[in-house]
Amino acid sequence: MDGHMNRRELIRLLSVAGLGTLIASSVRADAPAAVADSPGFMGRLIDPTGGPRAPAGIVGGKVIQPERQLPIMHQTDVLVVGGGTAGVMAAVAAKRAGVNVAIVERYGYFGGLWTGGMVLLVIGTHVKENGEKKKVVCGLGDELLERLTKYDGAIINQKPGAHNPTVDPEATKFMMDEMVREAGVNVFFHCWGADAVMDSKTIRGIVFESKAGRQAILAKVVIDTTGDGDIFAAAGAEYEQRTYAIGTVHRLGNMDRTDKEKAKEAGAKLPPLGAATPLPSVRWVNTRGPKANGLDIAELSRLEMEHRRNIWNQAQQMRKTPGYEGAFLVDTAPQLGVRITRVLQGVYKLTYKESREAKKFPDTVAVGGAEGAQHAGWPIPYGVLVPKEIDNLLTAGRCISADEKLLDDTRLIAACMTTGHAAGAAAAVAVQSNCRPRDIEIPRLQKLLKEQGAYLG
Amino acid sequence: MKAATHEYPLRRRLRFFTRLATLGVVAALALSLVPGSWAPLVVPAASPYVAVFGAIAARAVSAATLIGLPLLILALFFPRWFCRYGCPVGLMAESLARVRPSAGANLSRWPQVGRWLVFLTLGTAIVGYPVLLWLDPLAMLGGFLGAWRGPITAVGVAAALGLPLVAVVSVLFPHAWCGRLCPLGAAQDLLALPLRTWRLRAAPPDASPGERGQGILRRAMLFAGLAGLVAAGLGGLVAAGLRTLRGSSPAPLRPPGAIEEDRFTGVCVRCGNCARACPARIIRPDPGRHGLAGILAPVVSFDDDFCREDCNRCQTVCPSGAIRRLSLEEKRKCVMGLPRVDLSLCLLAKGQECSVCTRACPYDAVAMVPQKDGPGWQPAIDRLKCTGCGACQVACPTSPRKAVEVFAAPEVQSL
Repeated sequence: MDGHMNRRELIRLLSVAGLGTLIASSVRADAPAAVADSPGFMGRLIDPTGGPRAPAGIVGGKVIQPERQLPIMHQTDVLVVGGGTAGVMAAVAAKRAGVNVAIVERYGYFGGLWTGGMVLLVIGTHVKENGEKKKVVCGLGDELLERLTKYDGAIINQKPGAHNPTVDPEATKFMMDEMVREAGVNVFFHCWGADAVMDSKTIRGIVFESKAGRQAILAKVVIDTTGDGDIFAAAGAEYEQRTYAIGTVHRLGNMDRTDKEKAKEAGAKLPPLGAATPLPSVRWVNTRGPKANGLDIAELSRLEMEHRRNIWNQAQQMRKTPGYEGAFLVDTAPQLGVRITRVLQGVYKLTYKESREAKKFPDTVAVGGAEGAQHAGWPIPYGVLVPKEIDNLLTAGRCISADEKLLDDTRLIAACMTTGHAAGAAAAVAVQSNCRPRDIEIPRLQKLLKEQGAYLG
Repeated sequence: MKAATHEYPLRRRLRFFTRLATLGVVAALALSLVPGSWAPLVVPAASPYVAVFGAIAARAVSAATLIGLPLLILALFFPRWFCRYGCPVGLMAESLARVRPSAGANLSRWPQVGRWLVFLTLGTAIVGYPVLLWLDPLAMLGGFLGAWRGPITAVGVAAALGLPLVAVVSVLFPHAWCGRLCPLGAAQDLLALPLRTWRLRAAPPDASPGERGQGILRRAMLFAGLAGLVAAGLGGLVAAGLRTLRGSSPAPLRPPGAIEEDRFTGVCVRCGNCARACPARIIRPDPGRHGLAGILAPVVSFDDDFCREDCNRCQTVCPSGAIRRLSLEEKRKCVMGLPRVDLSLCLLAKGQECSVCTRACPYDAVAMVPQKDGPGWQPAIDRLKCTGCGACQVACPTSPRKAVEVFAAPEVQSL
């Protein structure tokens, strides 16, 4: 690519100098690659992506995928599957600790439900200890939030005395890109983690789907931050699966040019108008939605359309309300808000009761926050990230091992940040110690986490 | 108590030490140096004044009532034996009387306030509202000592104030407390009257002092009976009046197992035991927000914590029966209040991610249900499961006002 860029820059330079036409035509003559980049041409012929195919066939009325060798696209120390909040934290933590890291993400941006799902409010950054507000989301998560404060319109409520900041999704996508790029993580967007590469009970990598077909990435440690536990399920780990409320977030614009009093006078009932965002005049509206199976594509498809329809109708209702004629629907979130599906049965299962009693653990790797910073922090042990049987596999984010009542805390962005950070650091320690993640020295992990700024109580 | 000045020094010393020993035992119990959550209960409950009138008012004989029996029986046969050999408050009063011996108020001119108090209390207890139980010296001592136990709380300070008051009275008017004011002392005098009358009757009729004594006693009995009736009736009237005297503010939340609100403030002796026993520290004295009758009686506040489902300690330490003693299983079904959700404040109803109350409820009484007139969800409370323990209110993240608040049960029903 560098060669092309230089040539194009040279052409532009020469054009400015008045020699453009002559040089450009001479380049066109002997270098077809440059022709593709020239104006007036849509593209150029290239080799087919994905190489020779071995499609499925019908054998005896059944669809059979023939056995075939998969290309190994990449090999690394730590492979993070899923570029949501937990995945980005895990990738950056592991890379900063000094091991090679690759991250696979199904969409073209980082942040998952935080950015794509537009769950802009980061609930649970703080707790109340000894009557005082205390920040528990420290380290990488806080670094990200803190860096957003440098930009106007990127974040609100990230300052001393405040808690539960709200971010702008584009600013967050940008900042996650920056952090991943600075750390030097290998990024593979548009790759959908599809299967585990197993060696008996040990995971050796993953198979993913992309426009290039099925390929594999091999790694010493795999971190499942898919949120749905796609990889640990494929690897054969023990898990629970639940239905949960599934909604779609939307944003409303022009909201500072509305007249509440006028609506009140007219006696009109307004639809939910949500909460403030860092962008002036833009509000984000959460929808809880009905309970459904977030792994059932029929349900997901139905809910996508149902939620959009409801949101559209709500927006129309709002625009008909006196005082709200100028407000409008900005967008619906590109990602459906799937909250809980698969939940790992880890080496340890943290319970709601333990969390509210702030039970201490020798292997604490993170501290969970309180919704309104109204109760104490709850230590999160390493065991909730480690599957019972499968080796070289860790998980982080909303699918960590917790009981039903605690899921409403573990699935929040704040906990995804801290457990993601912990999983990444643990994977790095496992690679560096040349041992299974379940066998790492906990004090070494805790030391690394603290060096990376994490709060462990 | 003029007798004290004519006493043999040996007996005086003996009385000093036995009462000091009692003080030690009382302190150990009230300060919870003795293992067992029931320990602070013993001190006020040992007073027959509290035990008997408390039982009458509560219409129930409890284990606490039985603790008062020994002193009751003792008082029947040995008048004021407890005052002389047991009462640590009496020891204090006597000692302080020496500060100003010259003050020597002419006590014979003082009316028998203590006896009037006893009759008043009887009347009020029969009506179910014995307002003066807190004047019992053992209850005051228990309150005073207990105040030093845990951290300093307003109820502790309030319950501790009785004893210093007795001390002040003893300095200003030596011996007035024991001789004329103390209702426990007066109760013992009255309890001893029947036996004294019988003994005098059994004495030879020609004995002139006896005859005189008999006459005096008969008159005393008659007076006591008449005065008792008058006082009891008066007390009953006053109590009945007080019972109807309720503050304009909503009914207060009481500790779990509290008897009916209109009798609670009367039966409660304000000993402070329940507030001190509460591990969640949600029981506090009412500074008078719910009417004069309920002043300093315990109210429950869910500002910082809630009533634990695995705890009934306030019930085990209540000496008067104002808080009924329930098994843990019964207590878990005992309704102390009902929560009310303000949907205009509720985060879930406003479409935010909140399930705090649902999860905090120890009885699984809060469900999330779809809204009838909107796309969202809202909490719904199952009144068959809910006890009003306040867990939802404490957990609710909205501020300054909570979206869910627990109110006394009748208040919610009338809303």
